Amino acid sequence: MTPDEAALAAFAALRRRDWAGAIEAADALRAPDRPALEARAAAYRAQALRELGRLDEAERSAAAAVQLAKRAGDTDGVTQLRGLHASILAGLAATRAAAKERTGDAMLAELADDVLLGDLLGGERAAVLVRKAGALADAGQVEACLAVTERAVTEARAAGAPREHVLALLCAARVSPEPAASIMAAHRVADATGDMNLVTAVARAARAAGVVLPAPGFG
Amino acid sequence: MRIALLRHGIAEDESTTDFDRALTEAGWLELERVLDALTHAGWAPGTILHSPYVRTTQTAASVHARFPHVPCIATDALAIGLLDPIMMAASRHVDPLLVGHEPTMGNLCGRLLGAPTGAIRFERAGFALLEVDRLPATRPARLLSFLSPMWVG
Repeated sequence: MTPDEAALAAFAALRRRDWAGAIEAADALRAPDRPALEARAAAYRAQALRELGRLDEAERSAAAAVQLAKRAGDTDGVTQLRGLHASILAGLAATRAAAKERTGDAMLAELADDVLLGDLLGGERAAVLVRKAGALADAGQVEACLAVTERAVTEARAAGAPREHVLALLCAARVSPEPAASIMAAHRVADATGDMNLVTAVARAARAAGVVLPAPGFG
Repeated sequence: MRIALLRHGIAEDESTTDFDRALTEAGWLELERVLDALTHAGWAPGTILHSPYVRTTQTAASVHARFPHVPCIATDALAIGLLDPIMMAASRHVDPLLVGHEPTMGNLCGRLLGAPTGAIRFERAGFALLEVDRLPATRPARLLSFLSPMWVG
């Protein structure tokens, strides 16, 4: 395969969303005397890797593409490739942050409530418990999750924190084999607050669980 | 034969991908002014070959709207900037218009005129018309017209 053929094959594969094919064709391209073409191949590889979720490799390929385009004196290419590189870096940062949060939540699930709550007051106590309940739900620990949501509901009610109250009930609904009661309770609390974000969250949970909510009344 | 080169009009700075960047309102208007001047001067393409990127496809569509009887064909080599395959594709058509990107348009024009790489640069919606004996050319092309969007309207 000539470098031109490899570039055409990589581009065509990218257009038909054949990510593996695009990477294979880009890898086959060898044109050390044509840095502009090698920059394009590196950019195609970076885009395909990004689509496959291989962001570390995509970032390296995009960075290489920028350097190659600079060597080729392709100023327009450098601008575009910097944009590609920046968007991959942003994706990478978001993925790392999410992973860090997941790790934090997993640790949260392990901590005893009293240690976790420390000297927190009111709504903050309920918020921490809701987060712990979510982590337990993610870990599939149904019994523990239901126990924490129950405590979160009590704390939220005592603190007058309807948001945490609703979120705790929705968390319970998420793991419960019979979610209707929790969803209906969440609906009542959300409806009373008039907070559309909460009302929408409950409606979404109800749809997902196949629970029919009462139609809004008038007057 | 005559070969025309047109760079796409002004496009958005950002989109989901570089491929998806579309022409801006100003880009459309400027392009229309260039096309008005060209059609007023009596220019008409025999075929339109364009890079499949959104901004070049839209630019080609603007030309095609004025010459609907002319074939309009997406050509991957124009997206990648492969000069030999572009010349090869162009050689199969009469009086082709090539719609593409920088630095490809400038390098293509330079190669046809015998100028060094990087010597010629197209502005967005910039246009050139050249006369060549054949493609691949055996001697330097003759530059018939070079139009900057700043010179019209």
